Amino acid sequence: MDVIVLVSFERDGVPRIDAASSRALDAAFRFAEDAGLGTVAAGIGGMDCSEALSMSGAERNVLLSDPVFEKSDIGALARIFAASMGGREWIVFCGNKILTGYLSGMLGMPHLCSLAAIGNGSVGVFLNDGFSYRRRIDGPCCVHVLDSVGWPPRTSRRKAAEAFGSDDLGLGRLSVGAEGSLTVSDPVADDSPAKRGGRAALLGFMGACR
Amino acid sequence: MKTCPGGSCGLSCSDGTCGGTCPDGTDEVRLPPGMLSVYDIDQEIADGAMVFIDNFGDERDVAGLVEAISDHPGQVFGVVFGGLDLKSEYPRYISMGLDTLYHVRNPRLTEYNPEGCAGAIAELWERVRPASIFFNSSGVGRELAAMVAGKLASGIADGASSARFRGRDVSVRVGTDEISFRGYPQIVVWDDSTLPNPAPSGSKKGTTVNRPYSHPSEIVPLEASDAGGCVFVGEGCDGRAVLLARDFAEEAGVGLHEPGKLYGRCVLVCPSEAEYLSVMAARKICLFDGEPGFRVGRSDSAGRLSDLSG
Repeated sequence: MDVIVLVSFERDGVPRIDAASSRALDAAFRFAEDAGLGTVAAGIGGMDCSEALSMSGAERNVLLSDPVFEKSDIGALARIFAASMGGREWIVFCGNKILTGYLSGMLGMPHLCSLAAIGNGSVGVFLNDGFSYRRRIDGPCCVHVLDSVGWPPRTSRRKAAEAFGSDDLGLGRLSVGAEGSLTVSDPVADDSPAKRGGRAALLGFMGACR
Repeated sequence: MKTCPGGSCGLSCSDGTCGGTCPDGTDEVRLPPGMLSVYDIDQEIADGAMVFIDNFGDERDVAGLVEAISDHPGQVFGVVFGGLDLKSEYPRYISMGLDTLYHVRNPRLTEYNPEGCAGAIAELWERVRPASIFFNSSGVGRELAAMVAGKLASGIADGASSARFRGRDVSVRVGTDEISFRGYPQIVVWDDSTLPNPAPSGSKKGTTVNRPYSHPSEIVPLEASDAGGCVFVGEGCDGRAVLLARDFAEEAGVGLHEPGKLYGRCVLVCPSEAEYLSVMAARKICLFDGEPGFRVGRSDSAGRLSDLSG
């Protein structure tokens, strides 16, 4: 059993690991170090995310990259991550509560929500809606890391990311990506007067350029 | 179900007592007017919506959630967890706009437990099969929504601020996107900050269904090696014993269960059967009868556990 951290990326400009994932990595590495477990960071994104993932600090970095993964909803993302985990036992850390919850329900693993601190003996302190409880993290489970808590920064380490595609994971087009998602997201047209005016002006400008 | 004796009009009645007349003049029995269109039971998915009532900690705005989905075409089913004391709250829940309230009663689920509650909601959905399930955006609501979606392999939209219904199908606004669903149930987490604030309806009538739920948690006998990982504090323990138990838990780095404050999963021993029934989340549970004034100490626990494991 090892620790896997599910990572997502900010894609404004050069891709980088987002803040919630960064906190999940810090918490996971702190836990793994105490528990003597290995660490893997896994992220879904284009090949341009490889460099960002390689700086996660994990012992192994896994980039799940394939054009068919694009536009995956939460359920499809959970299926991709689950496929990357194979049949092994993992302690999953992630900063996205919906993703950890979905994965937990899908795989039948306990869900430990809103990790706020880790004490001696790998005991986690969890805070959720005013409830607080302690739980030893000692078996396969999905741990959501609270995003408002700071952790000691992890050790910097560079490890090249290994890339895997849908064929490597045995995932067909119908189970991931836009086709495999159970929700469809469409941008809502902004029909505010200001927007209409801007659009009209833009169309006029484009007409003038022709 | 009885049908028209003449066989000419195709109307039917569930118990034969309604005593209508066929258009062709023969005697027949049929449903009251409009009933078939309201209860279209010949389908795999019902038109209704299920609403999770988060009464763990501070109760969330159920009335606002029901009002927010008032355009949907079917019934509103509420699902709430709690013990017998919840019975007095039924009228209040119904007045929030529910047609049917499902009260999931399992002594082990009176305290919040993610796996138990998600399992119960998923099981209830399999039975009632409403087209959508709505949750508040509380920490508990979001956690359960995600877990139920994972269990039922369904789509989930998190952070909805408005909804549009086309028959039983819903599409919701999340930020600048509109999310629609493929398949059922359509699971929606509603952003609490955008809920309306309707007045309760005192005249609202509804049905309450008590639904026993048996969580398939496994009870594993304790082993001697678990002795260091258990703290037990029951109704019979006095304040000094509780303090001792807290110290023990702190030092050993293990979970602590106090009456009425259980949350999550910890390895524990319950000093009475009633306590045991209130606990569903322990990975390992062992029980024995505690006496009033029972003193807790490291040697006591080790001794007891050692006895039990034998």
